[in-house]
Amino acid sequence: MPIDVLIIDYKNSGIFMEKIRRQRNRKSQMQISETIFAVIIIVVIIVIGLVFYSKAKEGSLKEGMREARMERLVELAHALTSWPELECSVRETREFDCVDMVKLDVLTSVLGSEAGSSKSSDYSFNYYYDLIGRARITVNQVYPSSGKRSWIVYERKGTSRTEETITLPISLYDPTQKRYALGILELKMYE
Amino acid sequence: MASTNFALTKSRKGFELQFNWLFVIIGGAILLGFFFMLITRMTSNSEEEIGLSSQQDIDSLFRANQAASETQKFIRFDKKISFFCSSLGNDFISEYYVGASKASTSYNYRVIFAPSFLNSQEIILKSSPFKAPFNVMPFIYLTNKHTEFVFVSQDANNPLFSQLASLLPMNSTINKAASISSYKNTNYDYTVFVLNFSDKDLLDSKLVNFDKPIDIGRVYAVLLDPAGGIADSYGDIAFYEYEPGSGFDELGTAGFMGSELLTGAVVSHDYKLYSCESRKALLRLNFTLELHKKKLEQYSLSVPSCASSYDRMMQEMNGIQAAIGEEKPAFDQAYPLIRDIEMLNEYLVRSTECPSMY
Repeated sequence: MPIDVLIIDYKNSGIFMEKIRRQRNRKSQMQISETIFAVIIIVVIIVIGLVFYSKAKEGSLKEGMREARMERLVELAHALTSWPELECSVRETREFDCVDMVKLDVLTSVLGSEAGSSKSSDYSFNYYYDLIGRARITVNQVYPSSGKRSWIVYERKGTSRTEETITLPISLYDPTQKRYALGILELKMYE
Repeated sequence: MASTNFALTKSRKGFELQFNWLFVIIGGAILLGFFFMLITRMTSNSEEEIGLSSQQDIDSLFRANQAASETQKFIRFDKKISFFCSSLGNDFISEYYVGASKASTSYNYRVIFAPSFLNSQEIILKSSPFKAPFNVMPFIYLTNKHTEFVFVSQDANNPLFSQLASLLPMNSTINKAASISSYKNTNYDYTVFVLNFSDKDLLDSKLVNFDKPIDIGRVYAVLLDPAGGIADSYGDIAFYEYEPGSGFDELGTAGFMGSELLTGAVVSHDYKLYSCESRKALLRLNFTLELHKKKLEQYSLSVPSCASSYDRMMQEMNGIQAAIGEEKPAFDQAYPLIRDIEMLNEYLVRSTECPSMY
């Protein structure tokens, strides 16, 4: 039998066609696998990018929140001594960074009596919570050292450990004795 | 046989090619959709973020000015602010929205007198303490150059309006007119006519220059009835809104005590907002009176020689609390008691060694 007839026969035979079909199937399977692999890699890269982006965003948001808290803290610390319920004033003439000791006693007793109880409907509780939020305000007399006094004016504990603190030297005035003392006002703000 | 196999191979190849394309199209569409969603979300988030940051800025501005005793500010702010205040008994919901932000900032225990919408390139802000006669709380007044206050009076030197002009935030747009029917429409965001109760009849007339549908919600009138015809007194304020074609509609009447509340009524020219904010101020006054009473009790124990003066002050304070605690506050009863406390405090400062009340 001539060789060319054999080749034609072999090419026309089922074995040859099956071999070609298998080769093509393998090639297309590989192509699909490559495409799927590429898509998976792209998706993984996108997910990693999103995770990094959200982490960076979360970090900047936390930093922004901390900055806002610090800003609020400084504002509040300076505002505290000008509150009508704490300020030293005679005929509307207000003294700078001065707290009236009798007013301090009164406010401490009013707010302190509510700290333990959950008077959520009480006006003063809601008023100061709206104004200050979760914070602790303490005043300590540092001079004269005799008869040192301290006040916990306001305390609403926070839910997390994050807190910012600011201290402010203030004058303490006792209008009944007409005497001044030196004190430290500490404002701690919780997250 | 050969042609059948060839056709099968060709059709499979065709199927393979179609599947690849289908896969690419679906994958592409998903990716495109994902990125489109991401961009849309990021755009809306950034808008919300800008709104929130403006809200924080404006809130710190309000808080900072409330801490100061008296300030006047002209602030460039190109976002719309809308105010809302509602009360149920002694509970309040007060909040404002800035720009397109869906989040609001609440100010349930602070007092801000402003119209329900402020929409311009700038804000005029004034903070001033509410005194009765001691310092009760700071008030914030907000307006802008696009709000026109028109003092309507035959008398060009009306003492009440001269006082009001000095009490309104600096650089507010203030005009004067003898009548309102032919008052010129100069397209301000709001035109607020301020009248004395004696000129109430002027509100029966129609405004020839404000009768287009575009003028709905733009024209208001505040009718003042202060005792003695001066701002620093007590009395009633009636609020009106102009309905093009039909005339002024009365929205309601509320009381006032002191020039601070009167100024608030004119600045907000909104019955609901004014009633709600003034109620917050009265609750705060009630609480401050309580603190002062406790303080005077301590003074009486520490300085017994002054106890009689403090007792009298406490009686006056009880009277004020009773007057403002009513459903419709009796300012005519509370105001003279406030003046009594002022005189007693003056007496303590000038003529005795007793610690003064404020």
